[in-house]
Amino acid sequence: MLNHLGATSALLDSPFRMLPEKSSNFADPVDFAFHLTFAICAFFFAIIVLTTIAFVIKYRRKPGDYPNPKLATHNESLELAWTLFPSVLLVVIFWFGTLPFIEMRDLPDDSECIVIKVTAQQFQWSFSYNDGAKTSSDLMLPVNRRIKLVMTSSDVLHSMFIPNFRVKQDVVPKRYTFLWFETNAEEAEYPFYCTEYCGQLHWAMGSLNPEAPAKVKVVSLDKFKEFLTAPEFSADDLTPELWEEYRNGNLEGVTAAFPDLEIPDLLAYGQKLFTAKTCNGCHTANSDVTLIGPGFGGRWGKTLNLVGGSTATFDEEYVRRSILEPNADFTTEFAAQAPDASGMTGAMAGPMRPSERELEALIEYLKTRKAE
Amino acid sequence: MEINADSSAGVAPTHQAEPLNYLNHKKGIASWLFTVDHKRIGLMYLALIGVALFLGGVFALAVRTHLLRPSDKMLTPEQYAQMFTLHGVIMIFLVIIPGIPAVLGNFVVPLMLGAKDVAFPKLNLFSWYLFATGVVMALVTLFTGGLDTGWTLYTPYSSTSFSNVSLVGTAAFIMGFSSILTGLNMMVTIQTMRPKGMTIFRMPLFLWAAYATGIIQIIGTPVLAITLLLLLMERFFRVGIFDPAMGGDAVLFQHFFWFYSHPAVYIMVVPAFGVMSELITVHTRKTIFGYKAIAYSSVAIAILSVIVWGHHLFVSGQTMRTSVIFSIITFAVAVPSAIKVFNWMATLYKGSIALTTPMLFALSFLFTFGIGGLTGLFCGALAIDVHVHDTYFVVAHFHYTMIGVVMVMLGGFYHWWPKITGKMYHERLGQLSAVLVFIGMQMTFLPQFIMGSLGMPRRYYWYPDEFSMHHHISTGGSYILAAGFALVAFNLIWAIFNGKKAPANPWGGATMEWYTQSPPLPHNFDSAPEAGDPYDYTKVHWDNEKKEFISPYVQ
Repeated sequence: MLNHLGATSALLDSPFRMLPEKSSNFADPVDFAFHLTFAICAFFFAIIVLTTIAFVIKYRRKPGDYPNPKLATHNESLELAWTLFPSVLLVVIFWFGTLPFIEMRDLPDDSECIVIKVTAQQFQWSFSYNDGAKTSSDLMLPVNRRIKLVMTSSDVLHSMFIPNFRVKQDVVPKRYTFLWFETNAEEAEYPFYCTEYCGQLHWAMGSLNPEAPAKVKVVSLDKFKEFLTAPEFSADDLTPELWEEYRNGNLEGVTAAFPDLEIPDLLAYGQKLFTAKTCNGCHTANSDVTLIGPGFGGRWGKTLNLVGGSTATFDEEYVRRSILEPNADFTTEFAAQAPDASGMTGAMAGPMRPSERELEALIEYLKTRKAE
Repeated sequence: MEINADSSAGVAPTHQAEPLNYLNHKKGIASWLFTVDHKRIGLMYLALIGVALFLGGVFALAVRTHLLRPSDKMLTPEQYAQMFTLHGVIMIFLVIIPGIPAVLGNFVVPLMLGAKDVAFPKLNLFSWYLFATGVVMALVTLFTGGLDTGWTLYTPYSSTSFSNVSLVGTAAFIMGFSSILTGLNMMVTIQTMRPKGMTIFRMPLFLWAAYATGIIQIIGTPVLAITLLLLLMERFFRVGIFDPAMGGDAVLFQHFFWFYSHPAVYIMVVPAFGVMSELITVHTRKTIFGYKAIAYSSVAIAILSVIVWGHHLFVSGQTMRTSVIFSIITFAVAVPSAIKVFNWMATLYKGSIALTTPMLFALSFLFTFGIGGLTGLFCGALAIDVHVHDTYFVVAHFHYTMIGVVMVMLGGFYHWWPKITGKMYHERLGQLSAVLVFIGMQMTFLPQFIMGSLGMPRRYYWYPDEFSMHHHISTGGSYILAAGFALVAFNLIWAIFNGKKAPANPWGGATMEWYTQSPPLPHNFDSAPEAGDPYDYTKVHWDNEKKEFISPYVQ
């Protein structure tokens, strides 16, 4: 589903490739340590395997022959040699493994780098940049810059892993943890993942999200600046008259009033909000598969059995109420969790709470979903 | 006088009543459930562990089969999380931790000492009941919400998960006491019940390993018990210890958890080292090379193992200096492990190597554990660990060490099966099972190293297309591995009903369990044997007329 991200070359496609493409300042020293360790291990493994096989062939028991071999119990100089020689090599591995680590943990000063605040929650990353720009799945970075990520979690443990950068750091609730690195010169997209198990959709948090595969996007400095300052369309900025036009599908007035913006129609706006408000962390839009909450594909108009015995129709009112009051109207499918939609309750209490206009766009989107 | 003269086909073998042994001297289910005989208790552990191994294996195959084509959605994300969690919990707490210490430890340790039983036989039975209670509770979990937290139970997810963390936590808490009491029993038995002539440097190395394991069990397991208790208090009484939402510290749990769970690796591995030393020597008819080095390295590993837990926390937010110190100690553990491997190799030199099934498993262990140990260097090196942490690289690394242990365990079962059951297994089938397990193992886990270092995270329900080939090979390998395990089970059970009668000493071993008949007398020995060098094979002769080994039996 997710094609190989980033640049490819003949070497990278080789089946003997052991590490991803190198795309940050840490890649070289980490790969050196990796390859050095690999060489030392291959050397020892070859000794173990070849010697053992040679002994097994040479000293194999002949049928019916039970000799009483002489008792060679030990050999101090040999034992000293095979204790000291590997010990020296262990020191070498330790040394080259530790040097880059010390650098990784030596955080640059804020003035020397671009600081990005990272918030992790089940099962979504959000990033906020200087100047108030925000992204809720992709991580935008400029080329050739030092980046510092200041990370925290709003629920359980998560971990930020960008394989091409060779960096990884757990993200802990009620604590800040840090990552820093320097991006390379080329513009590219890389995968990133959550690598601390955070729940049943742990795998969907990052580049494998089925609704919106997130990427690390490294772009030129100009494009990055453009991204930071680009205004976002928000239905809440519209005057009541323009909103009336807009919700009825007439985009002309809105487009004229905001010439710099790309104006999505109400449906596309709802689709965008579905990711931006992190709905996709727990729900699929285009299937009926339950992730944490129900999948919305084909759900519109269905009759739902509620905890307590009553029924409800999955319609505008039910959706509105369920978003704003996550603990009301639990369906029997989710009776085990009732009355605790803690993930949603948390999201609705914070900046994810949609406005009335945003709710309308989300409802418009959910109305049209089909199960694939 | 030779004990095995009683049982050997001497004068009139036809329709002769089977000689008295621990299996036939009492009959009926009550004679098992209330037994204090270490041999029967060992077998009762084996029965429970066999069931657990089967279940854990089925769950592993479910995970691997799902990953063959995740787009088919054979499992839901919830079922997938349950499968890998229960696979881990069952294999670690119900199979590998008790496997060698409780089954082979119980059966073999008193026999190797020439003793009639362990030091505290009733405590031993009590330990089994504790373990059985834990097993039943773990199985009940399967039908009461399961467990979706990963075997590591990291907080705060486990503090709030809807799955049945409380029951599994209680089960592990109870089984912990079984582990502590068994360790204690083994230590006291070895300390106080050694026969005349068995100084500590004349103990078979399996006894050294059993003793060292007891040390780790007694130091480490109480910390697990405390941790689980705190977790349960948090879940039941909302006492904020680990969950930051209640004022706790999420990372504290990881320190507590690994303070036990890293030593637990050595609770599993050190007994395997002990079995390995027995298998290699007996099946090469050669004294162990570097006895003292192997014995001391078991103890060194046991002690160092309780101060390396921080290497699981290199990316947790632990300070840089702490990580560097843990990295140094971790590399220090590599030295005694390497010494053992070299000693076993040197034992082969100029030996008389018989490629019996136990020996094939021993050689499989040498290669498999070799890879498991060497890849541990990648994980111990700080900057490399940052990249491979929580990826398939780590998954492959610990399966190489753990399945290495299982290989030795199976080799040990084959090795002592004639003694346990009085029957010989089918040698050719046994060799085939060893080869299947070896090939299946490599095929399943070698591709996982490559996936991991390329950036494939663990515990993932889905994967990028670029890893399809790796996953397909891995899943194929897991089926071969499963076939190997099934063949082992078939062969051992087959032997009970159809195997040839086993002589007292089928392999020509020089340790004392081979001095008594197969299966042993209910009280093991008629009179206390005197111990000599456990690896002196010059005193075990092949009698070409009787076609069996003649053990010395020094009165």
